[in-house]
Amino acid sequence: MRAMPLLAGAALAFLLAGCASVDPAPARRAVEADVSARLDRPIAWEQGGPDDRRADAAFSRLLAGPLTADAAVEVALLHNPGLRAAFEEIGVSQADLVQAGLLRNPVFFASARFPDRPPLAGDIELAVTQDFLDLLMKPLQKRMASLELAETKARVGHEALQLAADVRAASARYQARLQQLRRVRLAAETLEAAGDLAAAQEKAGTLSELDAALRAAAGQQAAAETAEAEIDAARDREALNRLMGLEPERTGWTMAETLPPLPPTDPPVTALEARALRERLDLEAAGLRVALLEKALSLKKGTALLPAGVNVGVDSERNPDGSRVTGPTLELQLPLFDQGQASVARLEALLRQAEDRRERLRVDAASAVREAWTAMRAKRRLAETYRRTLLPQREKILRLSQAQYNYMLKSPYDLLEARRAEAETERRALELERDYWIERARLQAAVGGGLNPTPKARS
Amino acid sequence: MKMTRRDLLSAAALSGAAGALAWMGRTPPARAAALAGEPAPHVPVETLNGTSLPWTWEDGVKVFRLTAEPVEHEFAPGMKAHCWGYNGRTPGPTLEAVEGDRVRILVTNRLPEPTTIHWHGLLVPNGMDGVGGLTQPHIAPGETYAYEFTLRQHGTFMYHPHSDEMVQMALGMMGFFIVHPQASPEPPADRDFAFFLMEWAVEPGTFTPNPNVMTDFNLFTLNSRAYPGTAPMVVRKGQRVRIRLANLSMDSHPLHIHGHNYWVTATDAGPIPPGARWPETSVSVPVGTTRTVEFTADNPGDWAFHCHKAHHTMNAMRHDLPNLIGVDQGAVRNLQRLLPGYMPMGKDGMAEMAEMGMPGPANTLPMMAGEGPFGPIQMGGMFTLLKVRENLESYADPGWYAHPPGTVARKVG
Repeated sequence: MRAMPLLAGAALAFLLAGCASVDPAPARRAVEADVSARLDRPIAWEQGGPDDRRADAAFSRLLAGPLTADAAVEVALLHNPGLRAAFEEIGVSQADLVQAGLLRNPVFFASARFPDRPPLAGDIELAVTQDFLDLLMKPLQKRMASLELAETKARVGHEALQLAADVRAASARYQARLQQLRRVRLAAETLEAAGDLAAAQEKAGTLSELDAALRAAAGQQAAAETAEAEIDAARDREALNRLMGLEPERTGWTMAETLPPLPPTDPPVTALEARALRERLDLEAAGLRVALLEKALSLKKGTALLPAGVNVGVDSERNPDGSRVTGPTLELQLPLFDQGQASVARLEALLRQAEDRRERLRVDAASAVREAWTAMRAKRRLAETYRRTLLPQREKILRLSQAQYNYMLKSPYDLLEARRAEAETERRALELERDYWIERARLQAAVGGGLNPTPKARS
Repeated sequence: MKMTRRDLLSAAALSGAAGALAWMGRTPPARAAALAGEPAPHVPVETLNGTSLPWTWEDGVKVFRLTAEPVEHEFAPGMKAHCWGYNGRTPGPTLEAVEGDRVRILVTNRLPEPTTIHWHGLLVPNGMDGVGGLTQPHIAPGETYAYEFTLRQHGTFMYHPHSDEMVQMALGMMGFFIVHPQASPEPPADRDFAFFLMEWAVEPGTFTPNPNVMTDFNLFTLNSRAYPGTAPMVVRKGQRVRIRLANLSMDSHPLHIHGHNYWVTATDAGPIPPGARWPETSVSVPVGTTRTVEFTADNPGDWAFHCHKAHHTMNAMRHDLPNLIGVDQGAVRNLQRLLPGYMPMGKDGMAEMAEMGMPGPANTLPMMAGEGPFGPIQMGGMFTLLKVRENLESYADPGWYAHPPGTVARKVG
């Protein structure tokens, strides 16, 4: 009886040795380092110190100047509440891993029974039992829990990369929208100026009230329609606010004025497809899910005929005659009815399902790479056609119209129309450059992070 | 028709050419011969900005050679166009012969399409009339045809295609055929000018006249030149001046002379009988005719000579522009900001354009041009000058007229 606590303590010490801590920070840091490496950008979360303070310091730095797409990505990675919630799953999985390494607590049993005729003393029985099967199963359960933690890390990393891609696309949308808004207003102003000129003509008696009204209506309508473009800009800005998870008092940021110039070259598509299959984190998570189910199945199959419970213990009883009997106890659940066949069948179905889902992800990933790459290349060609050919053409048309105006061969209306067409062409060119960046962000997400030609060494 | 000397003198008196007698003191040879009733060596015609075609004698026939071909033509400094013409020019060289001559004209076609030549106003055998398909086969590219006939009239005639003539004339194919009289009752002219009137459609910034345009022409020329590309008529005071005008354009043109009156003396059907002639300051030259006017240049100065249809003394204009007369463009918001190179024009008329000197479209003449001794002349198109001087060293441009003191309008208020 006195030896019992010692025995139990020794067993516990043995079992707990090398057990994981419940602190999720190392696992989190591993995910953060991986995401930073894939994005090819150091993120402020690597700076050490308490999370909140870090985030605050990063914000004051990032939100102070005009935001770039990269800065917006960093803000979102640090601050998006959805992503923060996803990161907490690492804590949950970490705790599950610790849980998997803990023995079930021993059961203490005590009973006191008193005789109905003295002088006999009471019958006191004490027992401690411990589930013995637990001891056997622990290492296997721990291996499964660590697989599960790895899967969680991959899933959370994937979510972070997806968020980064969404922020890049949203930044391009908003930046382009701000620039386009200027062109839309300019185009409207040309029509308003034509309306004003028509009014001046009417006043001078060289244009009928009807013709002046037609010009005025075109100008007023264009001015009113700019409101639509302003709504679009507000929507695009709010999308960014949501992605960055900004509280009301933090939404006063400004955006860098212009879209960055297109990068000089794009990577070839062939390497990217293979890279996506090799490196995408959601594929990695799907693979881990398959491995986990395989392990669970083999465990289930290997232990199907073991008793479902083996309780070993020590029982000590003091008999009424004062004598004490002490001895071991054994409790077995006999696998007579439930021999685990249902559990095995269930796990087999789940395993096949996980394999199918992984296959679907592989097909989709390769397809997404091809689609985004093709669209990105096409948008680049179009955008460059606009920059190199169509915009200079519009500028030339305006210049030649001006020369004809100088010789009274064109009217101010003709000049305003040429200016309007130029502004509209600029607006369209910006739209195409925006589309290029959106497709590029999609491609980055489809490949599983960045597009730099040398894949980062994986931690 | 042989005329006696008395007939001649009475004709001269009737024709109002009283000035002729005033010339007896310094009679030029041609005039003296004419007054003596003898065959006159004629005064050669001056086709300003153009030329007359030399001929060769072959078996008692005057042989002229004309080549129909594309030409690069300059309407005025700063504007050239792909035209069609004869012997490298538009109008083609002036053919000059004398009544009674037998002439042979060898016509070579270097155009990309067939052509013919019609001798407008000349009385020729039907088969020499040059109407493609009707009186002869069309002259195919590369072919040469000979026209041959005897001249039985004198006067101012024309030659032009009668084969795809709308296109060929719109591109500049025309020329004078002038037949001098054997012996004339008329006092011969000291100066004999010929102007071909023509209209063109050359879109600003283009280099080829558009033959499809029917009414909306934007370039009006004397001998295919637009002012300020037109050469002036330089004459000595007292000279008898003849101006021959031919019109193959789509409009009639009233050619107006400043500082003088003239007599209308002939059409392409011959001389107007002296008693039927009438004085004019503007002679309307209808389409498809010639008119000849004569006067004595007795009024020194720099005198304008031009079509009196105001648009015809303008160069390139667009005809459907908004009317900005009196329109305050300064009241239009943002105009200057939207159009950095913009200058408001047209509010107070169009004269300011002539003074701005801003760059215009390629190969386009400004609507009005010309810089005179007192400021911009603001003209274009069918406009040139008659420069009458007391003394002349030569017929080269003598520069601006030096006005005697007190003979120029002056500012008094």
